[in-house]
Amino acid sequence: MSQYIIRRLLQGIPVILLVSFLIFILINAAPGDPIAKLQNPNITKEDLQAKYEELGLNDPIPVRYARWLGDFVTGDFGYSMDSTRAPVNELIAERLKPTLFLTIGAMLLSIILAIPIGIISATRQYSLFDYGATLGAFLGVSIPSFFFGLVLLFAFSLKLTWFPSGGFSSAMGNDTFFSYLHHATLPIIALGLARVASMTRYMRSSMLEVIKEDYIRTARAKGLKEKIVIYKHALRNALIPVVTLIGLSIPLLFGGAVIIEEVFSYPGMGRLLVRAVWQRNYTVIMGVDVLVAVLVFLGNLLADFLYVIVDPRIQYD
Amino acid sequence: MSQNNKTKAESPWAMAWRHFKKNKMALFGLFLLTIIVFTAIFAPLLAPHDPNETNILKAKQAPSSEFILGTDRVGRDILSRVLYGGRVSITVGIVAMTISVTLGTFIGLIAGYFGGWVDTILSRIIDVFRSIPFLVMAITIGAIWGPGLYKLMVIIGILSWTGVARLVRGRVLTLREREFIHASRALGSSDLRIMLKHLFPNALAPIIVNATLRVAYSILAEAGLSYLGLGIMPPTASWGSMLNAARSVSVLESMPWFWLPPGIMIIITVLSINFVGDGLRDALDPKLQKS
Repeated sequence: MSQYIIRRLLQGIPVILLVSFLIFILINAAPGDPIAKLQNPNITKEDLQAKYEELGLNDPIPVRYARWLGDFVTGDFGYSMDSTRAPVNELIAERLKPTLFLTIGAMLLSIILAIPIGIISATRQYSLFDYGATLGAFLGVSIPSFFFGLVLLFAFSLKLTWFPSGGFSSAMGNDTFFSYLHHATLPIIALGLARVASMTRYMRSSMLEVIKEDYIRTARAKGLKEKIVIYKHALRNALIPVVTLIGLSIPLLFGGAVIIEEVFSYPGMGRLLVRAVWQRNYTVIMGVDVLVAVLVFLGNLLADFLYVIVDPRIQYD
Repeated sequence: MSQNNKTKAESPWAMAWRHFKKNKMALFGLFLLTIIVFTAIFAPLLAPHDPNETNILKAKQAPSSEFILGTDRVGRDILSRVLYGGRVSITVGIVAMTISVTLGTFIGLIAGYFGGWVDTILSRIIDVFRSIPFLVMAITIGAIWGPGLYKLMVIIGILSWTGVARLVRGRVLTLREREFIHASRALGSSDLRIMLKHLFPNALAPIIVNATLRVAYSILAEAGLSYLGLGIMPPTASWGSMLNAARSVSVLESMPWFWLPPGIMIIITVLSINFVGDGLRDALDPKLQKS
């Protein structure tokens, strides 16, 4: 197992390095001179040059990238380029929790809803329920998540006032899991819809495959109850491809969170990124982008471990 | 199938159409899509008003007989903007799909055909692109390039080719060692000829299915980026840029006619394309898993 983790890290780290290097080059190609912007407008050309030299901005890109990387791995993400000059790692740390709450919530929602719906659809193929679920799944992947979010916000927050229209923490400061959940419910539903829809389709077709297998016929021939055949014998095997989908969904969840957080004024990393993009606050963009790549990698690693749980045939050695 | 007897052999396309026709949802999707594309093409004839004509005196009007879907913040007719917006959104969808499918097909062909270190490098590049979420990367590039129609098409295109590339690469890997490829090489065909004349046609069916779904995906991407103010910029109407108005809570709460029509048009269009894509998947390649 530990060997497997080491191998995965050895595969994943170069990819993350390459991602960060590409984003670094991209951001360096951006127009504008952020240093000049931050200085006194009366600064002379010579002083500006001295400033570049002092900050090491005249060095070649690989050298500057190496310097950035050295800081990044020690947790120093640089300073925000807006007037606050706040350290980027603090800005991100504040927003990590809301974003993880949202993305993990949407993932759990999709698992909780999609697996039972998929099972019922498959065991009652071509029933009214199955047609309804199929149509629902098509709709789910066709509705832009942020538009669905706007509709939810309009109906359940502005008209019915069941849920707050923004934020994550309550003003009083006495936050509990349920106060967070109250703020995050609508965003989780908006972000989760498309995931529920596609996972339902996966679960259904995977279950249909499995119940055609010989061992299921054997289990039925033994006289086992249909419930035991489906939930004990078939489900476990049918879950294996669904676990693959969980891994594939991770980048989609982080990407979707960017726009959902914007809709619900939800103080997560996505909203931080969108703000940074509008202000061309490149240090924040760089920090968020690379951290998201790291989170996607870690999420995939977790999905790999889930494999072992659902499929003991897989040996990591 | 023998060609010598009198009965004419059915072409693969005719066979696909015969299968496609059996799928009622796919036919319905094709029907809706045809209508939407026609209303977009003939928008200048159908639109009751100039989509960019402002009239402050008639701003923010609820739907009425003069303005069937009402007017926006500066008095532009929403119906006309939805019709013209469809042209922009569908064009973005098709152009971005063309960029990503062309790029993905070439990279997939090269990686699968040459194998070895070429494949290793290209596969790592695919990993890099897949390890960072589309929207995160798209707005980063958008921040550097700035918004605009052409930039938007390119951004969506160059960030979404990896799916097609993996699919084509997988197909090519299974075909590469087949006899007809060896035969063609023995006859002196160049690598390019083998890739384009023999491997590409064999991967065409899944490429077509993927390309169809790519259009839907690109329309959704346009909507999302324009909603964030990083895609199509006002005053140009696109379905996404019209939804940008809903960022204001007062518009969202009391003027639903601003944002419901473009949102509903996106849903109908994307849903139709997904129905057609599903039908094509079944019709073109019965071996493919329906998921």
